[in-house]
Amino acid sequence: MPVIPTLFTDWFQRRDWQIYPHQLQIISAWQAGQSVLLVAPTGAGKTLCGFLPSLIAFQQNPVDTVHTIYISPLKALAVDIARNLTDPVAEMGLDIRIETRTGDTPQSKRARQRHTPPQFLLTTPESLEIMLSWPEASHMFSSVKTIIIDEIHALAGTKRGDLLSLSLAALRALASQSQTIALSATLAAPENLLGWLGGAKEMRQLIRPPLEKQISLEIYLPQGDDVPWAGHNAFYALDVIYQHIKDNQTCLIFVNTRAQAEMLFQALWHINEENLKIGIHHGSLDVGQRRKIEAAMARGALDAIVATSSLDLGIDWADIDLVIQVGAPKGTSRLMQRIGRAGHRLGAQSRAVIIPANRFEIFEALAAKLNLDSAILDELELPPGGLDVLAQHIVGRAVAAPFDEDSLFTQIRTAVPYAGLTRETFDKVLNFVSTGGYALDHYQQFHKLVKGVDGLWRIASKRVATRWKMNIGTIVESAVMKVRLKGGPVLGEIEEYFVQNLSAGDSFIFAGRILEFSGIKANIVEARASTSAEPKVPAYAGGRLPLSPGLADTVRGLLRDSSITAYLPPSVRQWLAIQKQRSALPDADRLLVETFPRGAKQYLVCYSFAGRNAHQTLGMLLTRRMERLGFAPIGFVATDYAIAVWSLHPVTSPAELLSSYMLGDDLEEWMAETTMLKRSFRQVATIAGLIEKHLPGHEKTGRQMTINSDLVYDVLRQHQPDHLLLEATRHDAARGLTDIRRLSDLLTRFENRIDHHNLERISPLSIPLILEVGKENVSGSGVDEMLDELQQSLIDEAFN
Amino acid sequence: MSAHAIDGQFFDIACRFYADGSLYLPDNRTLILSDLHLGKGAAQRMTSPMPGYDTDDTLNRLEAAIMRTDPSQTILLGDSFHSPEQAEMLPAYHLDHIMQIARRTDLVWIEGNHDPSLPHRLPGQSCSYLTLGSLLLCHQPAYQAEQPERPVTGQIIGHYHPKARLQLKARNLSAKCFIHDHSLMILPAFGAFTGGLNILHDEIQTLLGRGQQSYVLHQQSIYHFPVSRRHFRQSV
Repeated sequence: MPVIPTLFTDWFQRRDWQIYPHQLQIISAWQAGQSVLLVAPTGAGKTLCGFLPSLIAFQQNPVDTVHTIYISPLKALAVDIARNLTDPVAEMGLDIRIETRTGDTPQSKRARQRHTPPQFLLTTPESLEIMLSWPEASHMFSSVKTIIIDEIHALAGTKRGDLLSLSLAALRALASQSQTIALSATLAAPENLLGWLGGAKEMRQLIRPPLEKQISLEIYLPQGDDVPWAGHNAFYALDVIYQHIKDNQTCLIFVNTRAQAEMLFQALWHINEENLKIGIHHGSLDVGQRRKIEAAMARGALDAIVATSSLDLGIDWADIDLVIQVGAPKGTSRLMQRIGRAGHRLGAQSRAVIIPANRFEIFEALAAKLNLDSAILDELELPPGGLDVLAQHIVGRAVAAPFDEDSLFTQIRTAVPYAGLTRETFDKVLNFVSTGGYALDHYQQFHKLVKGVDGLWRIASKRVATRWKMNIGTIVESAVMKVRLKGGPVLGEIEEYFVQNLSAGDSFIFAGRILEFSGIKANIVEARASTSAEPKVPAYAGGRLPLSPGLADTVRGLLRDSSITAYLPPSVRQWLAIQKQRSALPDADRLLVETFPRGAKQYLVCYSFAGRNAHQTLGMLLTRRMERLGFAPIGFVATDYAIAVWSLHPVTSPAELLSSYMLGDDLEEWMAETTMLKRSFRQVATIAGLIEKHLPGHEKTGRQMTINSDLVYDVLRQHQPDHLLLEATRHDAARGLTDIRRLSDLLTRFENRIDHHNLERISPLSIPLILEVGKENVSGSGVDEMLDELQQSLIDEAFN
Repeated sequence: MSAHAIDGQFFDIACRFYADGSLYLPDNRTLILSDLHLGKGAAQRMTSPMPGYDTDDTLNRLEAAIMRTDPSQTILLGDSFHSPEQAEMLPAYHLDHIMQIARRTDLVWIEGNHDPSLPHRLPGQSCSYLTLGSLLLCHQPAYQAEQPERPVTGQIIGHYHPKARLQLKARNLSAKCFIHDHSLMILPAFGAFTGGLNILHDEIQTLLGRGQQSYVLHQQSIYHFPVSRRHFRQSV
């Protein structure tokens, strides 16, 4: 049994709290010197679990520098945990300095923290990386006993996770006595995350309490004929959502993107006759506004809050009694996490309802419920770490202190995502950060790092350090601009490309209001409250979630399952019936392909149910091949379920087009030419420090940002195709945007099993796809032909 | 059919517009290009490891344009270098390349706002403007301001990096272009790392009168369009 001082047991008793077995297990493991990965659903007292062993140890052996570091993927979560920790600590009479340090921490507090660091430090991966570069770091972190990583499932496998793993490697080198406690939501194969605990294998323990929370999940199935074809807003069910808010104490309403949050919030207030208190929360809102909403929620002052994934993770709000998921959940684990926000206490029942926003989403919601019932969870993908992140980290190491390349290489290989890093690749990254890594370099004036006579690498100037701090992090959103109410406060940030399409007087939705665009002043978007009732749609790119692989397959099966379809709304049943009559329903063993003309375009639709990532790849491959065969493709759109390609000339034999040898074709070449690769390159180049995110003193907007990264990409590809950043870009494309293996399985599976339906007009099943936004353009002979045509028509016009 | 070059007329002079953004005047055997911005990538290198390959790229394309037309003189309409420092620090390798090019044609470097002074070691002559028959060639339409009325000469300038946004049948396209009216022509930027300004932007539109023609560059081809609000779009 673990040693728990009476100070703690007394406090538990006073609070009438029962200590759970898994909490005891963790304290035992910690006291035996082990590191722990705890996998449990939300509401299992996970966060307290993480801190208990540390609080006990601190009470027994207090230190004056940092004792415990808590790392959370969300700033808001760190702030919230600090709040929830302060009370029990005060009640127990423990004297601990508990403080947060995030990107939002004021400058004065940051300065103070450098000479008087908190004993319990709550932070984010980016802030940790910065603190590790301080000269004080070695003193500050040498006595760290516990490293707590919260919500590790949300970090592992991402670039932020890569950065964190590198920070942890550096941190553990300073804090040689530390143990790690990692907390994860339930997911398949959690043992894959054990490496994140560091230390020796035998000192790692996986604790998985068999706590099954009661879940009551309902799917809203409209019985009228008003089920939308496409879109993700579910406005048809607005009354239903409003009724739920009325019937419950506090509702948490999840949507998948910021734009949806704004639109739904607006729509709810429009019908809010009873003046219910409804709030909004998403990542683009100003920090102050977000904090206000969080505090109001904590006080129980709100009836409902419309949120994006910014509230996915475990903020502890007592009394949410219903979670409403508007739109498809996109993944079983994510759905479970979100549902867990209701009845957020162990043993309490979680109530949730899914409101599908369109016809396909009904199937997706049903599939998610089926998977949830049979406990089929999503598995985390854990690809090797990004080289752009490594480049950023290496500069950070030099900012901290001069380093020896051999020992840094050894240290980096202890970070899980970089365990397989070769010395050759490491040298290439080091070469890139020091001089740019160009094979033929006629311009020698650039040096970020230099190697001294002592053999150690250091930064070439102080400016390198300043720039590195300004550009830290792995989240490269499209350029954003602040939005200010004329003569009033800053409301938040909006994507620049959206602003570019506004003219003075245009209205748009932001921060829960309808605003009218006045102009841009000193890089700030000025707006005033609008009287317009019909705003332009807000067009944020952020927050589109891809469907998890498992779910798409389940959806395909459901379309033909008569035991399911019998319960569907009449309009949906009719939709499927007409589809069956005019074309066919997708089959598990065959691939349904439709072709039809519409307007000036010839469409080809392929219902392959392979998820959006694989479909994006398929889109790139198909258009490239169609280009070669003279079909003059113009663009394509990929969803989780299907892909549509349009061209100027009709495809007559799709089977030929879709043969699996397509994958053998110059993969490299087609990848290089797509706009997606250019987007990837922009991200890689920013993270690796080729393109600056912020410049000291004056923040530039994306448009002014030095040189357009597309141009750099084109030139670099031509002159040095094996450059590190291009390598990292291809690596990223294979990791995020493309899914070659899934695609090759698909094409092989359906070789010679393609059902082609050549239709006279658009098919019912393809409507949602054609209405989808997020289309990709291809730049090939299709464009040339259209230019020719326009040129000819203008000539004809002029001469007739 | 899409073409690599289109013949046209400007100020009663025969012109050949090339898809790479160069302009050839066959009667004078003169090739004109603008805004090469050599060293633009390198100019960023004080702070970031930007590749210098843009200069290689631009010079290669310049050489190709000269080989194709075999001009007796080649006029670079200003902003040939991204900054005076870049012009001074031009690596020997690139200078050699320019020397090689200068053996095929007489180079004329016109000063621009980015390169108000040009290094002496450059082959050819440099000046702030040039007249060619009734044509005035300079970087910006600066001479207009000093004269009370619009000059009777035609002008060919650079500086603005014109770009068109076209509304096509099934999508929009944004591309570099030439634009001219009856007496002023603006050349597209030839440099590899150069962006652009929409031709409907006020800055360009205040310079031009009626009957505007554009020659739009898309990959290996060039297209001729009269400028109209119907097919051209503004962008911020």
